[in-house]
Amino acid sequence: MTDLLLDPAIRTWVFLPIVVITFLIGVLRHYISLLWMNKKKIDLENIADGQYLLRARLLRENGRFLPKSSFNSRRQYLVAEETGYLSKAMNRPAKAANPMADPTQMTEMLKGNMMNMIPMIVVGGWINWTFSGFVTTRVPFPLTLKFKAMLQRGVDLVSLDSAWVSSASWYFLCMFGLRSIYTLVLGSENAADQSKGMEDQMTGVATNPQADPKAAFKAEWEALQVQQHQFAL
Amino acid sequence: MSESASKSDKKSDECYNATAITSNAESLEFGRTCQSCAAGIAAGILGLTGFNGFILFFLSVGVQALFWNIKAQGNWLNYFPERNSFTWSIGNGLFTFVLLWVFFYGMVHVY
Repeated sequence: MTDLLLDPAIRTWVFLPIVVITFLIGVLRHYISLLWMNKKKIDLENIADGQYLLRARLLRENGRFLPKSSFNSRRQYLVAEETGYLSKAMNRPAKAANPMADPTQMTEMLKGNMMNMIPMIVVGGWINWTFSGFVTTRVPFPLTLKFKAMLQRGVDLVSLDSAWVSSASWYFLCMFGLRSIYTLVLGSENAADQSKGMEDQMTGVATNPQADPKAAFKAEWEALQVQQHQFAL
Repeated sequence: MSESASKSDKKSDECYNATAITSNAESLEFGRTCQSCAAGIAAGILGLTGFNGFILFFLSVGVQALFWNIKAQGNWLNYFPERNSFTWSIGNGLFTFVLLWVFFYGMVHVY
């Protein structure tokens, strides 16, 4: 079925290096970002807020295992009119949530973007420049003509069967396919993955979990207010 | 709100520890990645083409589901909130599988 004979040197000097380079770049990225990114400074109030929210949620979900009086006293502790923690937190004056006001946050954001963009441009460009124009491999399953544009970037041959993969496209395939393997090698909290960063940018997810604690408090407070206690045991 | 309420009514005598669930899910992910790597390498070296490769992948998924069930001693719901966790992250697994399949097929059979 192989109607096209490829030089084994392509395997040694193009096909294999692309995989190895893609993988090692990911690992390098992970460790550089560990070095470079400062540990996020978290102030005590944020931690307390998070723990109280967690506690309210736990009470709401599992409160049915408690006797009614215990449930009510815990709920009062959280949502009582003047003294409850959630009520107090809800009426706290809002902090300046503008990222422009906080230069350290700006630098972090800039660093994050640079960590995403520089490897993308530099490595992608380098791979495209060094390894351009090779037909590297063939996927072992038939594909329709639509995949030609995706798999044969850099090799514009009309007569070539769409199952063949060019070197530039092989690089992209590796980049997207190695994600689970990074999780395996580096643990689930790794920063090796370029495609994840790209997805974040595309969907426009603001990477700011503490965006508006007041809204979260309000939602939790309301949910806990209307919660009916029902003893499960 | 009403949805979550009805949900909690349905399984009113179950209570899961979120940390433990996360850790269990992580082990599932680990197992899934290993399984798809192994299946991909096998399919590539055997030189399977077309549907045969995917059949091998889903076969290995089935075998792994069997192993998971044996490991859970039939009490899957003691460890996970829902039943259908056999198909845990099958999309990621398929992606890994296809990558390794193409890679080893290329290394062994194309050149």
